[in-house]
Amino acid sequence: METREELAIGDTTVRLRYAGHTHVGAVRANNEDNFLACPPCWVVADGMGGHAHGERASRVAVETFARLAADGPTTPRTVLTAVRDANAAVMVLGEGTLSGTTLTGVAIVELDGAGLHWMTFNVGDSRTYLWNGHRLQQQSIDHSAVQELVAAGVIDAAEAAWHPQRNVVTRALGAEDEVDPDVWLVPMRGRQTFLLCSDGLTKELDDEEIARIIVFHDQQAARELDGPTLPERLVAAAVAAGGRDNVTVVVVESEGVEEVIDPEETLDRDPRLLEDTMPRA
Amino acid sequence: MTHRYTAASDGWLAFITPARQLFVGGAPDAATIERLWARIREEQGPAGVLETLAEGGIFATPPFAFVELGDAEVEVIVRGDASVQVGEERVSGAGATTWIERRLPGSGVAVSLAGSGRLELPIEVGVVRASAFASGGGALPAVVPVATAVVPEPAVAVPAAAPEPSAGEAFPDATIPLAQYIAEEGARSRAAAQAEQPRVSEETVVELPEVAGAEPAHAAAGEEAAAGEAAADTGGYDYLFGATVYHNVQDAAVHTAEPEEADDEAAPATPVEGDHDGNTVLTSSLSRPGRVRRPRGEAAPAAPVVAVVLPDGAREVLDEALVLGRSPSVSGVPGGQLPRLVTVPGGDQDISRSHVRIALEGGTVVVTDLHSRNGTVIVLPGGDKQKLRAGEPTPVIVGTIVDLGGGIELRIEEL
Repeated sequence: METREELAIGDTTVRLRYAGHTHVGAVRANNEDNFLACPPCWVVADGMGGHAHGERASRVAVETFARLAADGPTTPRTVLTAVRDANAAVMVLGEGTLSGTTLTGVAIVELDGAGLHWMTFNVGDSRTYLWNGHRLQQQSIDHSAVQELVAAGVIDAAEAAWHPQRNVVTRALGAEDEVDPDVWLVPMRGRQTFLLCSDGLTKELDDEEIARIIVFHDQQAARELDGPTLPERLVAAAVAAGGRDNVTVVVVESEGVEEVIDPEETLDRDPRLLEDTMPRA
Repeated sequence: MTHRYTAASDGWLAFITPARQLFVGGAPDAATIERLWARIREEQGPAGVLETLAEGGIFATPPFAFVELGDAEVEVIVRGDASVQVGEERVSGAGATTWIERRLPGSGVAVSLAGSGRLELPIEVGVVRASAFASGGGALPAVVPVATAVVPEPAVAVPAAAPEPSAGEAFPDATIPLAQYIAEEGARSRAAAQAEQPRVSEETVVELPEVAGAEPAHAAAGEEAAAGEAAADTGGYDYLFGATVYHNVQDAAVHTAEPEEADDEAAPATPVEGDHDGNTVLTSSLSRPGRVRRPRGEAAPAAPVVAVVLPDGAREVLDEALVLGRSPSVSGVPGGQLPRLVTVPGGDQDISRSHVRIALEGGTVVVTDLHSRNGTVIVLPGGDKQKLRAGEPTPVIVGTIVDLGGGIELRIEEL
């Protein structure tokens, strides 16, 4: 089910379309992924740890974010607090066991003096992508062992996909008393589409295949209104391609009601160049 | 607190503050020195310093030593040949691929670096070239001339000068100089990567209990690899959870793929106990030991209250970093260092969306042009103008005007 709604924040109205879907996959017995798709927050969490621990860890993390909306205006501070709270909740859960969860998500936040922004936050190797209508761009940077090897130039992205340690994450909720997510803030403008997914999607489909499915979906959706949602289509494709892990996808699209035409739009720089505080090779 | 150091023009760069000190070998460029100086003065322990030092990757990280005196403990981080003495304990980074991190009981510290100076001087705060350093109850080590250990380009296996032990120091003869080790390992992992025969490229960080008892680095690397393979054979990740190992973003110590394993992976997967697929694994369930706090009893220097005055007269206090522009954004910053975004009114197209970053770092206002299209000019109180180099943090004094172009000027003001 795709949800369409209008969200009024302050004196701005934002038109939203979003949907999420998760599947246990073709191989594993339990689904340790959980997701949340509920304004102002969309989250994917991929639990880890044996037995039911992973499933519980990701659920507890997601539930923390479900409470975010009730706490008044959402700001970077409240989102960061929610990440810390989720970490604490998973720590409590994991007392004596080895459990944890990744967490990636986006939230609509209000910034004093700078208006509405999309805030992306990430801990672990689930991913947030931006879709601009033509191209899929990975926004989050994996906290994973292979990402470090890629950054160091030891292996390339193709080798990383088959690396035996591609499941080793270097940051997660429930691992340490304190967790610091990476954060992105992008002003809300025009139409913006975010795709959140667990690594079950990206291990089966590369970015180009995902992009092709998005384009195909847009064409189909225009014809058949009751067809599958984009997350359902992507998850089904990943399961068909092997489905070796749980697969979860959340897609959210926003459109500002007051459209500001910006002549600089097409000339925008790679956003990674804007800040030099997180150097990556 | 006043420290003592041995001045040496061929010594390491020593970043001295009352509470903590950083010593860096090699020849860091001006921008790096500026950043390190800002980072060492932040009250955040070694994390920021390590991030700056390791930003070019492990092989490009210069040798360094970080020292922070606490109440009855000393936090020590060493990479390369520097040696730090706390009480009877001596810590050196020799033999470690990344660095050695220790927390030792004691109230004094003595650091031996490279270089040949003789003149002993007192210092409280500043950046100097030093061949030795002492603080608290530590005695200034006698200086033995040692060639400066610059980490060479990985592909060039230059045999680096062997570090000569200081007086009374007991380095084992078998220890291979770090620089040489890194060069060889670097060359080998490159060659391996090119030949598509990936093999062990980086060694897991292992805290050596006794430097004097350290194995030759190559033997240690071999054992580590063997341990890794053995664990992989049994399908377990237990070797990742060893008590002395911590994988974090900066030391990402992992092994590259064995080709035959990769072939297995390519076959349609079947659920195998401990199979690499599916089970997302965390590299550490351990708390990181030795998070550094500011030593108690030593108050932080009172930070001046500085504000940025916008063209409409609004004041933005620099209690956190600011990113200013027509429609500012940030990309991939740690949540703990998230800047405040400020839209500059009078939205002129001359101004970039994220134009400039202004922050108070260690009591100094630092302005960074964020690769804005039309650049940023600073006007000093005396009227001198200077165009900022894109992406380069530039310290400025109170009273400076930051000109973003299009008639938009920001003023740095002390409240």
